[in-house]
Amino acid sequence: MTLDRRTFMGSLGLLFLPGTFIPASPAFAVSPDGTLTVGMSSESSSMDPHWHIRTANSSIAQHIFDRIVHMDETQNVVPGLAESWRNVDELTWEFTLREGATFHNGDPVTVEDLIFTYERAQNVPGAIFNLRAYLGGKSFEKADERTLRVITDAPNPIVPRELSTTSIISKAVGETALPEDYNSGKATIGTGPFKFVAYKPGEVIELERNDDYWGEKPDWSRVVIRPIPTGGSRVAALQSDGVDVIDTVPPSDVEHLEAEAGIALGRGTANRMIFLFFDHDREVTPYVTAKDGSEIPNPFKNQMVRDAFDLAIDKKAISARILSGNGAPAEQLVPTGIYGHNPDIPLRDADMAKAKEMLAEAGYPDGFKVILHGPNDRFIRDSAVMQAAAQMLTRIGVEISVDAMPANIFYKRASSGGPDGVPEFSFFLVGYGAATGEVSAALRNLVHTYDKSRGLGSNNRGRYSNPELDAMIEEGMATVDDEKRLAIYRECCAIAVKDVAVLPLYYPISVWGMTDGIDFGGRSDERTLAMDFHAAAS
Amino acid sequence: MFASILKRLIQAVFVVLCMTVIVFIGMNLIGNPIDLLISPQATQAERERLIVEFGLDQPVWTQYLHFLDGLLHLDLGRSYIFNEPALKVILTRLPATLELAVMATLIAVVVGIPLGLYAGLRPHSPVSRVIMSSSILGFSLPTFWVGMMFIMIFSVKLGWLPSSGRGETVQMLGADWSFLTLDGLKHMLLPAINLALFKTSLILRLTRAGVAEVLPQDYVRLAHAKGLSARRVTMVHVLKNVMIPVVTVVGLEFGSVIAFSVVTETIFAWPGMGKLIIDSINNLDRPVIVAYLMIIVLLFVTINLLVDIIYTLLDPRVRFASGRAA
Repeated sequence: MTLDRRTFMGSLGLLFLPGTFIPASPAFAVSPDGTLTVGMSSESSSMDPHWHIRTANSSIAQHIFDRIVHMDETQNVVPGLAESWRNVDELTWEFTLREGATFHNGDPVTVEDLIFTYERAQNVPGAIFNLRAYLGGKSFEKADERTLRVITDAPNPIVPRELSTTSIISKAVGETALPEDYNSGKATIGTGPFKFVAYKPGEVIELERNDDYWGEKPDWSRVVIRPIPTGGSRVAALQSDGVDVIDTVPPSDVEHLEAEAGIALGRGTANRMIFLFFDHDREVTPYVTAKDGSEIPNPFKNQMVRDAFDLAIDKKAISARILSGNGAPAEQLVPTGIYGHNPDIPLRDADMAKAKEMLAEAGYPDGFKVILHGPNDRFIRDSAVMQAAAQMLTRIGVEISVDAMPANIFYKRASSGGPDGVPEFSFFLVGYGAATGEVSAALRNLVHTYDKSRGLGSNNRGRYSNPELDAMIEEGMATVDDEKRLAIYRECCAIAVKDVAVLPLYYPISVWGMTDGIDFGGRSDERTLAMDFHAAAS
Repeated sequence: MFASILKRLIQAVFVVLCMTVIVFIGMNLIGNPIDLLISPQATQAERERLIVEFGLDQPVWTQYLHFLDGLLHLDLGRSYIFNEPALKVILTRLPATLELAVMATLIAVVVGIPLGLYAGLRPHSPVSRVIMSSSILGFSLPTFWVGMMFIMIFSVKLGWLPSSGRGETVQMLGADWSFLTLDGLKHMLLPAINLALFKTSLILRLTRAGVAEVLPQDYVRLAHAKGLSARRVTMVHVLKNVMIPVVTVVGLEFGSVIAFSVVTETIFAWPGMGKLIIDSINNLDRPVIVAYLMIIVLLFVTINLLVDIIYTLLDPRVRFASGRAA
């Protein structure tokens, strides 16, 4: 066939022509008492509220189910099905149930329902993300008709927070329910502000308002939640389809949506830290060599080297340019507003010259060679962030290359890929966020010495160890008084940061897009809840 | 005929078995789902307990034998992610993919064959040139980009068609179908055209090449010489002979749309199986991956069988040959 340039260009031009047409009328107006349609980036894998505690699942479950206590927008504990609670002694807590809360089938909530829930949630067969992590080490008993008594094995100041992870189900329904009954809706009976209507995997979840709800009733009589995984498609759905709210606006779309009439953005800094972790443990670490390739002792054992790395990386630039404002530069383990945040820890400006000096002082005037490992599909623009950090480190004389891989390969190697099942990497990017919404989880699991028998330091893949810090963390974990504990934890954060146990990079900022006429305040737990969105009074 | 079907089925069983072995070894090399999905708060003891609970502490061959044992009882295991039997997870998403694939193939056949025929019969007309050069775009533009462009133009700018989802559905034979409602059809149009674009170009070019090859043949000249109408010569003598390679390709393409339409399904948030397999691989949901690939192997074997049967209808030579063999 002969390819004629004119016909070719003509057909090509046809494709672009419609782009010049007049735009269609902007999105539909929202009305109070109407339907709220939400486009979500990831979908709930099950309607069983105890199956997986992932953000998507928790978001959906919170519409249908209440917890004994709830978390507000910045993860402070507020009353849920319990109207009040008190700490009787170091090991005992009592929660008083509110009057008048009923399940969607009309049954009142009883202490038996709570005890049944906590038992069942720890023993769902096949559940990988198991609630034992939050409910273990406690026994539950009935003190009287309206009081649940919780007895812990060891002093535990965060009992209410740990219980806030678990959706309360009805004993009468739950006892005989099969796992499939939650997806069909037969057993999806909670006490929450919305009732289950329909669940079609991958397609839609429909909810209707529970008009008998004990708390503030939501503005929407009906909620339709649709999974739309591709960022561009989600944005297009907001612009065209009568989708009123979307979560996780992609960084590349933030700017033009901000300028677009009829669309507003809402933000919330997530309680999650994305950071670089060092190998603190091995004498010789596999992915660090001298520049000529010869073996050298592990430089990350030297605090000055870690500090130089921290100083060399311009976190503000990474947040502003690589993440286009979808991240806030991080200086410690949790962002401001979260319990345990230490306001005295400053965010340092990057200083290449000083970092280079420190590296020389530590005995590496010529730098060394290191491979930075990390996932390439887990966090927003993760591989670009690693590239940027690597370039900044190159400027202080460290020869660094980036090896990014899919998360399903990365996490196995990062946790146990080395000889004898030790963590494999020398320098790597990971993230940490805790559903309990305060700093103790990060302290206990991330920077406490790895101690298998006591279940401490379980996420300490860098095997950081500081006995002085360990002692303080353990003291904090056993201090029930909120004020005293806060002081201890702040001190722990200061020590961890000074010692550069980890190199915090940024806290992700969740960005929601919504049509005009919807008010929304943002959240720190990355959940998208129809209850948080209000029809603006106009 | 019957013997050859039986032979195919035995072959299929072997292919499925080989595939499960490969998948098992491959999945084991990648990683384990526990590391990926476990709570960041879980203790080390909890992690080990889960590994034992899932049987992941066993050697691969023990796990494999366990899997084969389940297979004998038609149990492909439960999804680690969805808390449902793996087979059910896949089958609930099958109708969405199936109707989209049928629609896309229909569009490709209905548009591709007539255009190819025209371009073959009148190779020098300007219309043919436009057809042929646009077909280059059809298979060279990436599906992803075209899909996004469709959404930008027809949904965002013009507001004619919805950008994502399945729309209204109707229950039939125990499954939800979009093609039975007007709203569903509207939702299906963009993704179906997006998927059909490449196939249309392929079929168009195959048909045109076939026509160009058949036209100078003696039997076509004879048909003309006998005084048959041009229409009859084209529709019967030419088209029938052109169809054999086209049918093969349509069959294979139909299979690949069902199995690998992941890009289109993701862009248009179409809740089909293509999206499922990618999510399952990312989450290392082994029961779903294995079950999915088994279904796909069976699907391709079935399609090939159907294609062979259609051959015999189209071409008497094939019919007689297989008749003797049986």
